[in-house]
Amino acid sequence: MSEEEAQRYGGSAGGGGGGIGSLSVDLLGQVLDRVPEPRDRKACRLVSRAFARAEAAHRRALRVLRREPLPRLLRAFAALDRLDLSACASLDDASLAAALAGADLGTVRQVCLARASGVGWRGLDALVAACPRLEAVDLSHCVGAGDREAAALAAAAGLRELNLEKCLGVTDMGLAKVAVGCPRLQKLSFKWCREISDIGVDLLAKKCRELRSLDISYLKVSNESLRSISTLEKLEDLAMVCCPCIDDEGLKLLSTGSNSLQSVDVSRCNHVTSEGLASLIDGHTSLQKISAADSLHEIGQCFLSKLATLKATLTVLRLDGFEVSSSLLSAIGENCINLVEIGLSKCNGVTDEGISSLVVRCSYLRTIDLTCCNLLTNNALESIADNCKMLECLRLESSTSVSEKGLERIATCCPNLKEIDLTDCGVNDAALQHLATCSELLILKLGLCSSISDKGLRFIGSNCGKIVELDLYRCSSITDDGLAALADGCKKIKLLNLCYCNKITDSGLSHLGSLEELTNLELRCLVRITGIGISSVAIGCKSLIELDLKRCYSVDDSGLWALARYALNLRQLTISYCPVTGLGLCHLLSSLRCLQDMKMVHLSWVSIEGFEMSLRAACGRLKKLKMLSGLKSILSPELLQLLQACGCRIRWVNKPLVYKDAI
Amino acid sequence: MDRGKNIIQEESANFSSCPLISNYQGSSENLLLDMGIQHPFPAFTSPLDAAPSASIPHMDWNPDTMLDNLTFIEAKIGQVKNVIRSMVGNGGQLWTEPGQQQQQQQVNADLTCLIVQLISTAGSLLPSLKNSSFLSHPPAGQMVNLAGTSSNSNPNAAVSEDHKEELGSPDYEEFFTGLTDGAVEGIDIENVVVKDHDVKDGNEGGEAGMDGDSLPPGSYELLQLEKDEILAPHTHFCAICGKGFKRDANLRMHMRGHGDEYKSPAALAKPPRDASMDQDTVVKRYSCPFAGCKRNKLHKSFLPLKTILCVKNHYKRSHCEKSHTCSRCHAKKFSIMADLKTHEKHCGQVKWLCSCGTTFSRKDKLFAHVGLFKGHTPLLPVDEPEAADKVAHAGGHQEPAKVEISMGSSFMWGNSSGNGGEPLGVSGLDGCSDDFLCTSNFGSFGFGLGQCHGFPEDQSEGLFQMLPSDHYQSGEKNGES
Repeated sequence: MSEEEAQRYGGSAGGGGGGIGSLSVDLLGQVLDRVPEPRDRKACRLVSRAFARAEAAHRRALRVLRREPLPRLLRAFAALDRLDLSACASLDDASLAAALAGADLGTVRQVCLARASGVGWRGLDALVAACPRLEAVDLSHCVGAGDREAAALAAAAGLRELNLEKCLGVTDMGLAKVAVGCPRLQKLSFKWCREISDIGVDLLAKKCRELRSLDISYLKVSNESLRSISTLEKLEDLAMVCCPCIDDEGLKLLSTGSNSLQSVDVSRCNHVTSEGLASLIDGHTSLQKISAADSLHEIGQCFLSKLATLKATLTVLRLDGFEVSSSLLSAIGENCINLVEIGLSKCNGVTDEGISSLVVRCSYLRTIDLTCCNLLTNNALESIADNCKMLECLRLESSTSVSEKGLERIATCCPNLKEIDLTDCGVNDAALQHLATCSELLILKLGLCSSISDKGLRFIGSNCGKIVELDLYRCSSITDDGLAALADGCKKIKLLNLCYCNKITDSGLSHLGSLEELTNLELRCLVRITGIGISSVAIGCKSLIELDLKRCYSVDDSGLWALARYALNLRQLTISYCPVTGLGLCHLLSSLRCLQDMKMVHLSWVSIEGFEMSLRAACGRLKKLKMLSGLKSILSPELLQLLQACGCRIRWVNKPLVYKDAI
Repeated sequence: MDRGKNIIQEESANFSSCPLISNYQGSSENLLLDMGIQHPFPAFTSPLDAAPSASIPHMDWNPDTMLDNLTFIEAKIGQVKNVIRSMVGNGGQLWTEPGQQQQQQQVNADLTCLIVQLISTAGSLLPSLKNSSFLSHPPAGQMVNLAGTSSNSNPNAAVSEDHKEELGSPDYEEFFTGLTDGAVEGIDIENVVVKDHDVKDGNEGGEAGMDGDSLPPGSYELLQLEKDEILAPHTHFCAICGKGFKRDANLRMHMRGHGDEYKSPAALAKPPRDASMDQDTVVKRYSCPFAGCKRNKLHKSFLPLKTILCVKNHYKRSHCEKSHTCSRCHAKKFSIMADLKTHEKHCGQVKWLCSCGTTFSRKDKLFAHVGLFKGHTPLLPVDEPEAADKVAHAGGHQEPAKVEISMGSSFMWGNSSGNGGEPLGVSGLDGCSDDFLCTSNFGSFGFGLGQCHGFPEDQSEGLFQMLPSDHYQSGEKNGES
């Protein structure tokens, strides 16, 4: 760029000022790299062409939300490293191939196509051909993907990471294609690909010697697979959740293998016992993470004594769903002093005494999961607070005996607390007052704590400005004032659950309109809100992706019009039981270009033509649909075929129409 | 026709110049073996002397013998004509029904033996032409013409059909193999199948005789047959009709048909063994003539072969082009008829394909194979529509040969390029006959159409079914190596 040109551009940009245009593209790129928020970068880009140019040359990651601008975007950003197409509505083979054809993607190394169910092997072929340096591909949850898709990806010989989770059609053949085609794979997940068997895993182990991380969860593979896997020398992370055919023999094979396992997950493997785990520990003395949730029937002494050999290394231990005695917890505490995370969710017999004896030795604990350990009282909280100063995450769901007293101690002793789950703990405003002193709090779950009122929310709003996720499910005492305080203080909230807080009205929602970063909002059964409230949310919450309006009996077409007009990023919407008509639905579905997931059960005011028209309007975009099963026979078969052809899955539900008032 | 005859003569002259052909007149197998261990030409005291036309003192070349031979050839041509007329007399129908097929086979056999005789006798008409210029020429064009001529005289559809079938018969094919290998010194199989000689060795393990009685070197007499001898189709010929046999006993059985004098117990009895042979108790072991082969005596970990049959099988399997293509899958090729038959029993059950063209009836076998070799990858059924088609068509043999051939060739093309090897080139094969190799490398159907423009379509294809596929195989191997 010549100097005058730069000045002209800089000057004409006005807001950017003459100085910006005279800086080099490199320098501006450096500046942009230091602007973390996408929103702020967008402001820069819009205000100055010099910045726009610098961003085009420097931008590394791109997440595309709509299909139409994809070709232009791919051409504009020449230095992309990561390309995320997972949210790209109505992306299909043809559009992907067309977009890739005109672009230079020589620098792209990571591509995410999770849930991009419209993309098949042709699109993947084009992608692999267009991106010669491809290293990581995420194809998870493309349930239609099968061997041909895997074969298309196998052409990317440099692939290091591949996620095929829930690609239900992938069989041994597809896995073999990948194993032969991508010998440098380091990380591979084929969780839920239930067609894959031992011989596929065996071939994988022969061909991909660089594997470091492998996920074979939910597969019907047997111990033979573990024999093959045990030869992978570089393997560090192995997940085999719910593999019913794997038992202690397999773990023994694994223990005699040559790999350097650091993390193993045998959750819900029903035939694994603590002897098997003990033998595994025998062979791998540097294990760092063990997850054995809901698998062992009891924790044997042999396992406990083996744990001692992992004293220095073990950092994560998840033992959800066991019968756990105090002596066992104290033994764990004695043997695993370096634990950072312990999971005791749904363990019977966890008492204050047990927790005390555990935490007294494990002072490095950061995450403690005590979900549904309902014998615990404030004493346990106090001993946790006294010993685990670095605590970041505490889950106490259903611990009805804890109160503000225990939480006060936690709040004062653990200043790093980032996440606390108090669902169904019956805490009150006083507890929130104490918790509000934890200014680092990001996630706060207060569902079913009906005694929480606006007062409590004011504490939170005034102190916890960093909160990202707030769950107020069935906190029915909350009113509009509480929301006002919250929206005033917690501008960073992304996920907000207000279901069944039925005192909330439109004015409360108008406060929420100031939450620009809000992405997920659940307003289920707020019977007092109307289209006006929805409008203020739609206008204000520009980032809104998911909205639940089920049983909002006063939300009518006007709400849908507002959503259609303003909520342009909306991807998931529930309007079941809302008194909307076919006209509103049709307008909504034809306007929202990102909408992929729609739940519309019992829309009694919508005619058959209304359904037909609106579904036709959104045909290429919808991926998931939930409707009354009665419609199955009424809607035209071509429409249903068309939906299916576009990769849309329809869930037909059959339930009677019952109007429920909240609570 | 004339031109065709000339070529037959030239060809067979060339043929007879090899020691192999001269051995045809020898009566016993031992003769052949002796040839192998570098004996000079043996004396010709063959029973063929009885037949006036068949005595072939081809070393010294006198006009009387030549005339005799020519008369013999004329007689034979007459016989060939008769056979063909009889076929025409059949009304020109295709042999489709079982009874007719049998008849057809018989006619085929007759025809084959007549033509073999014709060629071998015609060959003796000329003095040794070993160094004549056309020897360095590729034989393909000649063979094309040769085959073309033999069928040219009968432009009937039935006959051409017959020829196609005929090529499938082992005798004829072996004859052709011998012809090519004998004449084409330049191309030579060494160039073609070098990579393959150690891999295949396991195959002969059972019959090769290393098992059980592996003899220390030196405790046996080591013989090495030359490749011409190994590939010689027949070692025993009928002195009257010239039909060739692999075993003397079969020849004796055959002779009974020529008259009562051959039916006497004495004539049917096994000829007495040589006294010298009786005393010869030295164990014999055999060496493969292929340099670099593990079965070659110069190989550092040499493993001898036990019997002549082992030698033959080993040589054909390991160092010869695989000319027998499975008629069902059109992918698998074998150099030994029996291997093809074994394969055909199981062919069609194939479900699992590797990118190298190998097929498996079990998935785990395919995966073990893929696990063993670098660069091989399993083929998804959709990757190979042609292959799928072929499997689907496996039952229908009646479809035109052309389609099948072109399919087969495209199949091979796909595979070799898929292996990432060099494309089917002449790189390993040059130094000989450009046009021949080129044509054969660029598609069998092209070859068929280009070379035999004048012939009825299906006929020429039938004739060349075997040849191009040979060269396909060689091309493919080059690509892999």
